[in-house]
Amino acid sequence: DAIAELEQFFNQTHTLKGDFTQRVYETQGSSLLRTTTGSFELARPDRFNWSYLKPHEQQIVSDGKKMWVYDRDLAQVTVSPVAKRLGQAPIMLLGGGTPLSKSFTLSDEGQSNGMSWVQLMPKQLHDAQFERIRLGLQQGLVREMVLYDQFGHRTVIELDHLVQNSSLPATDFVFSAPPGVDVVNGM
Amino acid sequence: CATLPPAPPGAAEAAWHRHEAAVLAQTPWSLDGNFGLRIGHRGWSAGLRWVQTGDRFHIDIYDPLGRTVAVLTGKPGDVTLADSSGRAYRAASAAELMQHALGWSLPVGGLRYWVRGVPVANAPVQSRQLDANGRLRVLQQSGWYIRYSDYDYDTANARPTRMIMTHGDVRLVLVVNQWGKG
Repeated sequence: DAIAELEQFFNQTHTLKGDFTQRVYETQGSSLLRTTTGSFELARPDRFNWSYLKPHEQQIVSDGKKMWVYDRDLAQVTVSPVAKRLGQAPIMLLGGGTPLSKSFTLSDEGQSNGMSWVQLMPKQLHDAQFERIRLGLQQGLVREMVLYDQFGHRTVIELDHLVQNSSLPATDFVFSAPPGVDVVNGM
Repeated sequence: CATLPPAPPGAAEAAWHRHEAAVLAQTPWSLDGNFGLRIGHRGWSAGLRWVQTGDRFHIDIYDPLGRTVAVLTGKPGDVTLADSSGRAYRAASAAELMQHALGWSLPVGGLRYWVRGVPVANAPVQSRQLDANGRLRVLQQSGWYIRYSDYDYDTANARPTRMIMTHGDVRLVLVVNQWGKG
């Protein structure tokens, strides 16, 4: 079933890389607020490199302890401790170190559009970033993430060109600021 | 972006007044952008979506991972802020609300105009410099120093696409990815 497939994904995926398209919709309706695309790499636990290419170049890198956010246009890098900022960020659902069942109640939503779906409901709602999350799996890999937040916004993240367990150099998960860019502490 | 041939000085001033009037007349408008805020040696970068209809605004602020951090709605004097844990706050000023809920704030009242490349309407201007096409290059107003470093020239009322604003130890860089009609 879908939950077993998700747990298998979690246990067997040490690294993952691919491209993503992230769309934010307003309320239950369909008006598309924002589309961003890019590529990502992750290495369990808690290390990732999430690069937005369009419409704004931004790179988010975590070595598991620190998280850097680099905006090329803004010529600014903010660095902050991982724990405070990440919570249930989408990337952490894929590459986090703790099993999902620790902070979510999982339920099988069955098959739809070629994927098997699992619903995640946060156990503690007060500090939850999302009210409800759905993960779509295909051939043992998470292909789509749908996240519903308190504003009624719906974020849909589609993952493509996935490569599982390739060897990724540790330097991919450490950020070194380009010359002329100031590094500031995140708020 | 294409740059227009430089206009003679008097013409730049005349072009500016036509441009300012056209921009102020345009409502509703919307933008999708990103900003980097620095206060001293602490910083924050976020996504911004702003829809303005007359005096009413709807502003979504996203964190770098795309999650909505806050939604500000209302009009001058009556603003509501909803944060990511579902709490809502209400006050007369957006900046005061943001400072309270987020620990930092944007000069929303001024930004409503500055982001479109015009000074706040009927408020004193300390100084301004125009570029050759009669668009603002620098504006000083209510203690902010604003430099417009890029414009989207292919629309009649060219709108700024990159601006750097400073006020004391606050530095705000705003990049507009897309301008819209609201």
